[in-house]
Amino acid sequence: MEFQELCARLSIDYTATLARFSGNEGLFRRFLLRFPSDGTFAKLQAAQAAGDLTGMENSAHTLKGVSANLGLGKLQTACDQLVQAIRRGDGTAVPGLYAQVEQDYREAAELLATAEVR
Amino acid sequence: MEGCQISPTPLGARDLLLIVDDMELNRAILSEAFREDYQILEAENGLEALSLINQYAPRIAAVLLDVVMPEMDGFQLLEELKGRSLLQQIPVFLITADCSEEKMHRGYELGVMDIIGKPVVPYFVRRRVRSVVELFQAREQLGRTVDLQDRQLARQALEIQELNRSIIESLATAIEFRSGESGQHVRRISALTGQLLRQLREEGCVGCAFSDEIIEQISDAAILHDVGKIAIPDQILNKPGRLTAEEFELMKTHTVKGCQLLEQIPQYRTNPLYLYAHDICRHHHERWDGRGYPDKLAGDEIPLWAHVVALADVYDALTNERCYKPPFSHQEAMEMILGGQCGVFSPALLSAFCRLFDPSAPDVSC
Repeated sequence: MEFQELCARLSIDYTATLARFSGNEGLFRRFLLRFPSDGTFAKLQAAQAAGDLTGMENSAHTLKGVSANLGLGKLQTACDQLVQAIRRGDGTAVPGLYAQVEQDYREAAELLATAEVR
Repeated sequence: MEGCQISPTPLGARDLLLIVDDMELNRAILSEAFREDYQILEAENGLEALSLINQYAPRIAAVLLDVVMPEMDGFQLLEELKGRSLLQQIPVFLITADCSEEKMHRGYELGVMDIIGKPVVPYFVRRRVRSVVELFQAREQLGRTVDLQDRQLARQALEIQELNRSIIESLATAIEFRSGESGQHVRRISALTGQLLRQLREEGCVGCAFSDEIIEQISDAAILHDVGKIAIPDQILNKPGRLTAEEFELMKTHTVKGCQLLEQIPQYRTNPLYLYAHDICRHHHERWDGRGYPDKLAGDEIPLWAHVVALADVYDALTNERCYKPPFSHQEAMEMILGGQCGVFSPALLSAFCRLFDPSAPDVSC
């Protein structure tokens, strides 16, 4: 598929995100396609398994930044909510919000890993 | 660190931009935004950034700084830069996702120029960075221009002073030449006048708190003390034997004639040097007891600088050869002066004069 079509499937605002890369589509493309191999989610997962809330907050914060830069709006919002919940000490909301992050991450990562972009 | 392929640049240009962020993606986005305007330096944490700043500080136009990083975070780096007074030279921009009031306050307190929220919009970041960088560079340029002009002014002032002195010396040497002397006499009197004034200042004598600048002006003015001799006919000035009473009266007019000559000099009214020279020309033959010439001033009526030059003149005449006498030794000259054989001087001045040569001489009058 075309790169723009991939962006549409991921709900990425192509024009706005391309502007973040100063119009350099090659750079945008390289970082977006490399996203599945970014280790930040794995760190978040490990922190969650260990019950390490500070570790979760840090990783979720980093993941939020990466997804914001790549225009992955849904994942950015999910990460932001998780960070907010941990910061205000709302322990009961954390598992649900983490599940949302995981779902949005897997959706994007799988699509990116399998897409054959021209 | 990708700052290894930095090419050289003409001296003084700030052509580098330092991007400090632990995330490669963030660095790539900022690099891309500034690639056309600068050579980009990248660092993954504060420590790497610090080493690049140490290496390239004079060439770095701005630093874009993330806050949360391993090794050394953005605030720690800011503390370091502040401690080295580098924040006045290099504008630092915090690039942070955490724009809480507390963090922003801390950033501005530490001296950042602006705080830019993540995710960045390249167009806005470029605009904000550019206006601050332009401001810094204009200020730096202005500072350099002012420095340069200050140095030029100081050099010109020195040149004018040198020129002034050389004109004065030429004039005085020409006059000495007429009376068969070399010009060394006026230079020695000038030097001795300076030494005496400093001695008087050191001893804290009343009215002797001269600045270094004034002492220099008086010493230069001393060179002109006999400038009026230019108006004295050769046959009197160079007469080998004793002057007649009439000839001596004419000789005495060199004091007043010197003043008349100085009054013809255009800078006379504004330059303090000429005001001192005027006093010195007129009054360097007055005596403390009021029996000198031309005005028969006594005691403190005699301007101190004129009195100092009078003593320096007498001492130098005694200790050097003249056509009518051999040189006296220092000891002989001191005895003659202190014994009142060569004029009458202020006791305070004589006392300082003795201690100029012998610091253990008693202070009899101050």
